Amino acid sequence: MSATAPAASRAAERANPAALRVVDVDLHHQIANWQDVAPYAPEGLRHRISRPGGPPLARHGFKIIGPRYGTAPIPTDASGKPGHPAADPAWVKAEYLDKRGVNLAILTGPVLSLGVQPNHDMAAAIATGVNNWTLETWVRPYSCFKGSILVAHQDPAQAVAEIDRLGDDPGMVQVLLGSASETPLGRRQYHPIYEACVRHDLPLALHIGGEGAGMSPPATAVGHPTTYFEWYGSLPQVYMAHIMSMVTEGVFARFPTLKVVLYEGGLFWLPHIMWRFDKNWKAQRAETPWVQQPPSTYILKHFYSTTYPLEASKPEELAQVLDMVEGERTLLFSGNYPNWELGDPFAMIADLPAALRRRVLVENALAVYGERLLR
Amino acid sequence: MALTIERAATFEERVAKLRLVDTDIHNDLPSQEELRPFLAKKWHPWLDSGGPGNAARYYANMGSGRMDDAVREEDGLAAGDPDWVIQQLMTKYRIDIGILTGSGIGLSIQHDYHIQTAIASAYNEWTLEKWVRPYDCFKGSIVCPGQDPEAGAAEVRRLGDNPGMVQVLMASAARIPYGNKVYWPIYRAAVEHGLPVAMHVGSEGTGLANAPTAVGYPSTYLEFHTDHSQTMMAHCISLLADGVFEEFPSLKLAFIEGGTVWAPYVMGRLDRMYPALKTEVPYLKLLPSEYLLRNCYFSTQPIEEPDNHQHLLQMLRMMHAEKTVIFASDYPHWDFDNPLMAFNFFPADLKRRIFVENAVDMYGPRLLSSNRGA
Repeated sequence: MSATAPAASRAAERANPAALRVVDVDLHHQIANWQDVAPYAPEGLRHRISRPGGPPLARHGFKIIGPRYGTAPIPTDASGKPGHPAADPAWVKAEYLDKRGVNLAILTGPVLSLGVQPNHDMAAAIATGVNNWTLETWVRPYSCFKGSILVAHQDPAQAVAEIDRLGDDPGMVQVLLGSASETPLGRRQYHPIYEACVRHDLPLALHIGGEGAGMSPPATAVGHPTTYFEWYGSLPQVYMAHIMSMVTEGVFARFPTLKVVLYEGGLFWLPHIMWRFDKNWKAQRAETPWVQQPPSTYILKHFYSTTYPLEASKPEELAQVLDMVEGERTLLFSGNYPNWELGDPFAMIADLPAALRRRVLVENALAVYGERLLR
Repeated sequence: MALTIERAATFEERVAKLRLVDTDIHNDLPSQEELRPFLAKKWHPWLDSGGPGNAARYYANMGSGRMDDAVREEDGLAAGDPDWVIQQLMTKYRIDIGILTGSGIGLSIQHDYHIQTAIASAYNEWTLEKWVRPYDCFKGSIVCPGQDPEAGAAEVRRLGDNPGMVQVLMASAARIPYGNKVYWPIYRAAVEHGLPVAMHVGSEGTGLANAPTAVGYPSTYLEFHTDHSQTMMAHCISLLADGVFEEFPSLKLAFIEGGTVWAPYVMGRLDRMYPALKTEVPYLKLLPSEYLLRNCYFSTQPIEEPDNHQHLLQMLRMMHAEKTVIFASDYPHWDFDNPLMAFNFFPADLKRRIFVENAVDMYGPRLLSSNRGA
């Protein structure tokens, strides 16, 4: 399908989801120039977003040394200099989606540390600006791109307002927040966000990336890592902490239809978490009487994982872990374009059991995101 | 019992007779007054004032935190008397050697490293005097004030050749990950004396330790206790990524009471990253998983309990449990794993490795030496 005929292709997909070959739930579209985003932000703080180099954002300081994008295609300008590989929707569609057979991609953007930025209003203004810019320049012109409603969760009231503002937009398929957080996400102050997700029937996506920046605690439970290598290796622990918190604080007892997608965290730690949690719950559950089921029941029902990056393993080990975590239902394909520093996303899933491939590439995403994907 | 193993037998013959080595027994200190004989006079005012003003954690167990059936009625202690522990634990569960982990691990996250260093030394002397020298079935841990690595290293050197001490022990609660170079003096001392370094959970979020998770403080004990394995994973990744096992190739690291089957995640994620990101860590020469399998040990308790036993065995195979996993009971704490029950579905050879041989590999001949010297 081409960008010039979105209506026709949209109708075709709607009629026939069986025609889908690949749904990619994680495409990091980039902002080449924040001055393009500024007009979409609320007027009062627009001047902070249009400042040269973009808005002030606290950073953690961990970065990849060496090639940032692996084998991802990169455009060059007239002088042959490499540009942003994911700043131009037409180029991304032509060079990544069409060449790799991706029918639909969910945009997750470049700003994953909003929830730990110290200025709540600034963070909310950036979220609104990015959301409007994403809708107008990526989602509305292209049926192949779906948006995420980015929110800054340190101010739940503004996050809820943003979800309510965009929650019924047909181009938006989930609520996205950075997993970096001052406090665990099960805490009651965040429940209105989950209530809003459920109200609009939107899955909640958590994405690593801001850990250790701004108001975030150190990026591990024992302090600051030394290197990007250590930082990135440790990040799934943030998801473990959020899982513990959301289950013990009764989020899923209160919002039984909430779905949570954990991005870029891998899989191999989940069995340990489920079994340790169940064992502790047997002895300690008097403290949390609202947790009526063994924790693993909630985990398997409500949490989804993505494929980039899967842990390095033997094929049979991957198959065993997928069996333990019900991967035939809970695993979604993520391309992580253009951040292919750890390899090609399709090579990453080469060892997936054949019986699971279509589920991971298409059907599980349809089950999580529902009809919205096909609108 | 180890008490009855003949001295004349060869090391291998004595190992063959071992039934079980327990790497985590929390002997109680009945009263801080018991430390007084081992503390210099200048520290006595602390004891006179009821001890240092130690930071204490909020998170409290739904029960007493102990196995109620292990408590002795006359003194209310569960593990305050070596003979009681021999009767209640060692004899009953057929344990030949027990590694004492005590109740002083958390001193490494208390603020005043001056007094805590003195208390660590006194505590270690008390352990030797009351528990280790009189009984060859018990082995001691050198409790280490990790918040002051120079002092910690000095304590390791002070006791490093004592035949009754088999490891260095630190809290997994910390404000800086354990791979960081600030701790290397402790590892250097441990390696010089052929001692493994063990870390143990429980003090997370207390004193000068970091919050118990990378996103702050849990609310409940259930959440807090389940979160513990994250500090272990963070330390493990830090040790691998900061090159500790390249600098100290013979150093053995034991993760006590932090669970086991998260190791495949650490190996798999880091091995996935290493080929692409090794430029940043040029001091590493092996795959992260190769260091982990060569240098790290994981204790069983609380052993993960999936409904499907095969799932646990599959995860254990991924982490080469036949080389990396050691048994721990955590006596007398509430989540004690009964060694006569918890491993019944394990293949016999794997069980033998976990119950005896891996601990012998990790601790070496010291495990079977007389606590009073040759």
